[in-house]
Amino acid sequence: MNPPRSLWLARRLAWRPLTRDYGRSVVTILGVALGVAVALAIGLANEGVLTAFRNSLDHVAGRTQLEVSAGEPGFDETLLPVIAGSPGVASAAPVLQAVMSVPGETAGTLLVLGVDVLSDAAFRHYRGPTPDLAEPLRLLTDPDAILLSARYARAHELTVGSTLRLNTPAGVAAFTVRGLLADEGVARTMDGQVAVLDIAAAQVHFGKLGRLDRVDVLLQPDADPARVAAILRDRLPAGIDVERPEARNAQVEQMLGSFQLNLFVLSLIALFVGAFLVYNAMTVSVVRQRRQIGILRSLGMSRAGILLTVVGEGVAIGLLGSLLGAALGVLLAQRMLQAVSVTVSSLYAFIVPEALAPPPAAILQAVLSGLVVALAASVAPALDATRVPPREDLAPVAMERRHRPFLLAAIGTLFLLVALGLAQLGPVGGRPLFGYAAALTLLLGAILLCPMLLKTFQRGLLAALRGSRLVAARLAAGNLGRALRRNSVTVAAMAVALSMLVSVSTMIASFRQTVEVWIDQTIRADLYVSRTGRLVKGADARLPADLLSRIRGLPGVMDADGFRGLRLRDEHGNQFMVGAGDFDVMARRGRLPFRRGDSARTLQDARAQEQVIVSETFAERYHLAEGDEVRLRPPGGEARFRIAGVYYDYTTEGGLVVMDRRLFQRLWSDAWLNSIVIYLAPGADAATVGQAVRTATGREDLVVFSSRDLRHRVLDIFDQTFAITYALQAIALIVASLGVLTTLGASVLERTREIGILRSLGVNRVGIARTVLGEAGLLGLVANVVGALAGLALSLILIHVINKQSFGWTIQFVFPGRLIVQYAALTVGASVLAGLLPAWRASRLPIAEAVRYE
Amino acid sequence: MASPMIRLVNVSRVYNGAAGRVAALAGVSLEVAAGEFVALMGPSGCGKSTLLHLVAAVDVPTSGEVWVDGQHLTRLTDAALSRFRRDRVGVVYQFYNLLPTLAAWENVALPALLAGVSPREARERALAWLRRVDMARRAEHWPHELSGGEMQRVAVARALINRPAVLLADEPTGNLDSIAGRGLLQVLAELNAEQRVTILLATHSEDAAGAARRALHLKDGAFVDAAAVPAPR
Repeated sequence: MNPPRSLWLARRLAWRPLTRDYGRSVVTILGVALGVAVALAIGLANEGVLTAFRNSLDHVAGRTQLEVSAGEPGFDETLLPVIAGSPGVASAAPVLQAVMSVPGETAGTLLVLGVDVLSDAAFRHYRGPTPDLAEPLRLLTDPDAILLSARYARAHELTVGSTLRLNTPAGVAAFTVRGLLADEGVARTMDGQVAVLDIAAAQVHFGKLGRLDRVDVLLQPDADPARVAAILRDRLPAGIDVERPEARNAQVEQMLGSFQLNLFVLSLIALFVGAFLVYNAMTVSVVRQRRQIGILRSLGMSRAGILLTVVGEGVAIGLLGSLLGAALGVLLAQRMLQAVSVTVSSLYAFIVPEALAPPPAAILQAVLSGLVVALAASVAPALDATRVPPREDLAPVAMERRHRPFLLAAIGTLFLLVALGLAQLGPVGGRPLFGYAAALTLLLGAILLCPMLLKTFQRGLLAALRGSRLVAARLAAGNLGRALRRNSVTVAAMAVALSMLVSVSTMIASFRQTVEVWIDQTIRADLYVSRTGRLVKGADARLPADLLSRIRGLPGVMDADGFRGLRLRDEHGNQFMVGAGDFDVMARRGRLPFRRGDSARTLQDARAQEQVIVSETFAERYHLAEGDEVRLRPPGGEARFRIAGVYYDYTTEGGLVVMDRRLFQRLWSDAWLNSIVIYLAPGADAATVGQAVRTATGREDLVVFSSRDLRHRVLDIFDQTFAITYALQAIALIVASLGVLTTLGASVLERTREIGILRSLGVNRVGIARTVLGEAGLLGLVANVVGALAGLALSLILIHVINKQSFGWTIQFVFPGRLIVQYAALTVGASVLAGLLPAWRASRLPIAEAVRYE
Repeated sequence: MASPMIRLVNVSRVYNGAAGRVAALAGVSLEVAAGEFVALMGPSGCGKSTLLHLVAAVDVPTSGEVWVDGQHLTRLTDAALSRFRRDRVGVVYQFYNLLPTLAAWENVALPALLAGVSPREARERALAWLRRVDMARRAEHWPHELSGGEMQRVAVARALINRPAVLLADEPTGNLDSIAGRGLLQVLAELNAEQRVTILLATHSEDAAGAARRALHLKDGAFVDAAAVPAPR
């Protein structure tokens, strides 16, 4: 076909039906737009989070070529000359770094860097818009002087000379702003939430006298970074890491991997919904235009021409939907990035994302993916269209290609078996890749089983209704089996959406229940004291250890214990935590849920024999069990500890090694606490004791939680973390309603004549509507059964394979009976509701016209 | 003469098409007595089917009155019209219009079931009617397993199962070969004689019209014959 003629035809044959069938086209275009928008927004948000991480690392790293660090405890400042004097090192700059909250501000958090202001300009890029910065000596002479990013200062109406208050481990400290940093280099870290102190002042305010968090190294021009790193590792004590700054980017990506993969899967589901809608719409379009296609064929249009016409219509829908979706996606991305950042900040590490500048490539990719999805989804209906015989007197009836439900079911069963096998395999590089494959295979298997299940169900129903008075039910059941392929696709799509919903909800409900039980078991104390009211991972939250003895002496306090957690990194750079508490108090008062053995005995034994206990997540990650040895790298040199017990813990993802505080202080000589738990004397009032704690310590920045508050707080964080999965609920409902709407629309269209006959035989409008609604209900019912079963199977994979391998948490499966009933009511309700429009149309068909066609 | 079974008074049916208003029927009047067998003749598009549709209550006139079996159709509600279609008229179409998801006997039994007859009773009646049209041996077959003539006999049985006052047939032989067509017309004539059912048959075949006792000719939406409404005796 030559191009002008094809265009002429395309305009009339593909574009016109689209504009004529206005409502359906709009629904389909919106469906595609939604899919593309969600996919694009998730992609952009994921990228935005990674960019925020990389930028904060890169801006702070500056021109640094090697970083010397040792996790949260840092190392002694006497090592600085050792590093600076090593061969190949041109210069070395000391760094202290902390995330500190601003008192009285709900969202105010600053990254505070302590640097040697005289030498640091060689490493990092600073520029001040105010002349005050030209006097860096002011910083040296005044321990309360601070430099602030101009952006933060503007936003909070601060200027040179203003006072800035920060929550430090020693309590609230007041600083004087001595200069503003222009919006470039370091000042762009964390979207401008940055302040800089002199290193000596930082050591005082951070409570780290004589300590450094990091030393940044610049190399001599001809030095080989790998060789210098090896030399430094050799010269420095064990437990100190030397690595290139880029290595940390990879660690961040690794850390966020599972989280981002989950979001990515969600975006695939969104695209799947778009594909399903296009498929449905094109099927209806082909049914509706069957007459026109028959005439075109009889006039000599080739099969290829018909194919192109139908695919063209699909592509037009895809293009419009994708463009709209791209625009929506960019808008949505900004909000999603904020939401995702909050979750990432409370789960992984503090980030502040910058404003999104969506890369054109990502947008183009989203538009293309929408187009490809639309194209792929319109191929099957287009092939159907080519099978319309060249005749002029055709009624709108679907051409069902030959289908083999039992062959498909056999393949489906095979898929289920493969899924079962895949679920038994272990993780690949810490990622549950086989788990995801098992989930996908399971879903495919369920989809392939749908035609057979639908057919069997329909046959059974027909047999049960044979000769019954329920004519409407009989006809509805009969109709189910007629367009088996189309109905199967609708049922399969609904079932997939539902199974996602059921599985994720089951996983979350089980997880929540597990956490609740765990909280009730572990929370034994009456009051919890900590420094931060808001959860920001990595924010400085230390309390001086001497608070504990002061609290112990308060009236109404029967016992108190402090907990210290130290973020460390293993040889591969992965984060984990070493924790310390008084095992004696824990054994007497608390009860840790151990995988094996009694809590009190395990803790007493561990204390007596200087053993450690580890969280289940730690044991899973490093393939350790009770009785094995764990290797740690405290400042004095490597040490090995026997594992006395493995306990369930849901607070950290990286894993936790806990030891008695005496042992911990001997090894790390660290005198800080992160939180204090208080056991009240009988009859003591919690609120009174809480107030007494604040008064006695003179610290207004302390937050005192009751055990009830803490429980609420933990569950709130839990719910907030999983909030995004509620998008699945919306998706399931959209699929159910739109799928039923278009499928039944086609069904009514096809049965125009039949409905006419029924009407002429004396069936009234209500009777016709009832038949169509019955069909809607039956579709919803079959989808529910398949969806619920597949969902339950999927939830087992999520809980025991994917989640276990990604995070190491053991979740007790809870059967979600109420949820399943709820979702069933919701989706069957939605499908019947969606059936109302086709039912209404069917009942209004002009009878005389309807009976005229062959 | 007692009140006629079918009475059309000055009936028009106008369709609004893209090319303007088209009058399928233009002020027609007609009376058919109970027990009569009347053939409506005329070329395609003369208004035969429209007239049948109005009598079958599947279409409404633009103006005028349609009375069937003493009921003024234009005044009935949808529910009453549905009851009327179910109980008082039976229709046979050119394209059989059997429901493909029902077996032959089920197609026949359907109107009886709709009328509230018990399934057992409906089956017995359906089988009796299938015997009457010589189709008993095909009772359990699906529509697509039947020939055109067979399907049309099933359609006749279905049209009559509720013992309607009027049987309407729209080109019933149009898709049949001449032998099957003649067989069907014979059945209709016998039923008219035995059951005293009033038959209105639309056809453009002189053969078919020959089976009727009175033939009326329509052209461009109006009767050519003067005798569509007999003069009062």
